[in-house]
Amino acid sequence: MGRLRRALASDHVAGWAFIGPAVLLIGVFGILPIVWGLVLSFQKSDLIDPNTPFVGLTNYRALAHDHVLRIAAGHTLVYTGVFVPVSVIGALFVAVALNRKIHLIRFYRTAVFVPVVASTIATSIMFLWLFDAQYGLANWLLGKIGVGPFGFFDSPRGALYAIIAMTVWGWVGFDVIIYLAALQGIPHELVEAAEIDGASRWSIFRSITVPLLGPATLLLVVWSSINALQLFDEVYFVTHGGPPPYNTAVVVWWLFSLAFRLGAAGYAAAIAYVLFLAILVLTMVQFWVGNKVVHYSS
Amino acid sequence: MAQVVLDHVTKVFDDQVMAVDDLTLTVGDGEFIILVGPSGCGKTTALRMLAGLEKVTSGRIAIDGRVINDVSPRDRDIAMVFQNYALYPHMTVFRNLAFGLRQRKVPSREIDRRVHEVSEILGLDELLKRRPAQLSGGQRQRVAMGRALVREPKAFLLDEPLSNLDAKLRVQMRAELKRLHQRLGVTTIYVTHDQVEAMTLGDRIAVLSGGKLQQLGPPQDVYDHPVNVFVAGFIGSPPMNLLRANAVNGRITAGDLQLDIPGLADGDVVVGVRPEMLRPAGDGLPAVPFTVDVVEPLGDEIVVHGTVAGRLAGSGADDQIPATGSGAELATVTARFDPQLRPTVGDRIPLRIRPEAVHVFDARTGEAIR
Repeated sequence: MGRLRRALASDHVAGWAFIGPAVLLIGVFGILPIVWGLVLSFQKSDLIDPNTPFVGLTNYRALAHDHVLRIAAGHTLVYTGVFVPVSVIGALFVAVALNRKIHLIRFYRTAVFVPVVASTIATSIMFLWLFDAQYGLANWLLGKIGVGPFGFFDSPRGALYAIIAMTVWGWVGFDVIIYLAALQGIPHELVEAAEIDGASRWSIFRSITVPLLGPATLLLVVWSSINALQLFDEVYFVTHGGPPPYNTAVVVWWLFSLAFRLGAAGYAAAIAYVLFLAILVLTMVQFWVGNKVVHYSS
Repeated sequence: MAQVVLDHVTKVFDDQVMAVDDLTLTVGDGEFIILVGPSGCGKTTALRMLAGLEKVTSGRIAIDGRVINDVSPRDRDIAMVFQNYALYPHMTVFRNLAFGLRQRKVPSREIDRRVHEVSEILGLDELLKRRPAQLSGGQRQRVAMGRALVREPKAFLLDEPLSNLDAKLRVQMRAELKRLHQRLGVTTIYVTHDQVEAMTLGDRIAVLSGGKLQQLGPPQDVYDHPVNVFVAGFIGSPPMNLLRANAVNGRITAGDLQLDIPGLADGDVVVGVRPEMLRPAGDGLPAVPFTVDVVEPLGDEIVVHGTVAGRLAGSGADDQIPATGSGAELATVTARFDPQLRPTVGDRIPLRIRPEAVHVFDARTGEAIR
């Protein structure tokens, strides 16, 4: 009895009691799917048939011959290459504009952040209306200046860019909040010193503000890249990978289609693992380059 | 180099706080002037108005006859050293020094020459490739000075530049600043709350309180002839002893102290005596009994705190500690003695006060009477 009581009173038990719920959650919803996904990527599985034969590297070899995957990877790269700079640079300018004491500033800041907390479905429906080829507000406005109408989501060439516009609008608020916090961490004296040193507003922005926002920029570039490479919701809800055949197909949308519509879950898991490795390598490169150019204040 | 004029300058902040109240001051070409006063006296606001970092509510600021009220900081051709140095943390020392010149499109060869010249003067040669985070406090201070010097501006503004240094380095840098000014002769306006810096550095000092200029003059004049109780209590370390007193028929009475000052009008007054003017009295001379509370040996002198009969008068410069004791009213006073005296706590020492060493102020207005 005494031993049991001593054991229960030990730091060991208290420690596990504190971290137990988190370990359980991470284990069940984090580590288990990761391991299961890895196992699945070496199997032939449609998620229904209990018979899942081990196929070795067959799924990984098949990647090289997947025509749709190649298209989807191209779209994903284009999307990432446009979305990341546009959202990060856009957020920087919006944050600078909002980093001042003006009337209704709280309202403006909230307005910029609202799209981040709005659900993707709501955002998607709104943009479907906005970008409607016949009745959309965007085409109506463009018509006023004699341009258009454009198909936007229906256009084979333009649909991906319409999705970029939509996701930038939806995500820029998050980046703005990070930048606003970072801007407020820049000592005002530095700006004053630069003013006295003869720097113009643009020069202060370029030579003082932007370099001192380096850590925030690195964080946002890495974070936005990870998100962009995993684009799925908007494509799934708005364009379903189309216009046909695959004009907005992206990697995660394709692997989802393979796993849950085309019965190729094992192969989809192999794509997921390759994507994971690509993101890991890209993130490491970004941090490696970033840490060379970014200044961290001590 | 330039003459700097503040003409009836007033600053009222949005919250209706009057930071600077009708300040008029002319800083001569090449002069080193000190704005000194306690926290919140308006000295930094005055400096920031000069720099163009605060708008002037009313009045006029001019450099070399040109009114600069509406001129942006970058076009004023002045340099400022901030209390926390405000060095650009992501730039090397070289780039920090060169930044102002680059903004002014100075050719790079000239930038190189001037940066190296200044870094030689300030002993920064070895540090040019380092970043501010890799420097000690004293080195950062020198870089901040260098950034101001390299521009060769019309005037230097320094906002408590030594306050972040340790005591030893502060003394060293104080001398270095004075040497630099003697060498370069640039008009310098220096803000501090430390009246030792004020006394030692300035050609003239301007004592401010509550946004108002209290007294302007050479440091020794201000020390010897304070125009009011505030200046008397603020300038000097330890500060002047101030006691409430009563004048009747040319005789002042403050506790046990009695002094004859012919011609003095009857009424309530404040008497002030510098600590160094309090000396132990020889036998038989009129004296005030002084009980020793605290002894602070400083090597070359001993600062002794103790009590005498009487009532303290506040100067508004510092919070004064009331004397504790029973029975009669006691006032805390401070004296500076020769180290040979070696007083101990509890000693009762008769103090001699020469009438000519006593300052007298009107108790109601605080203005000096003599």
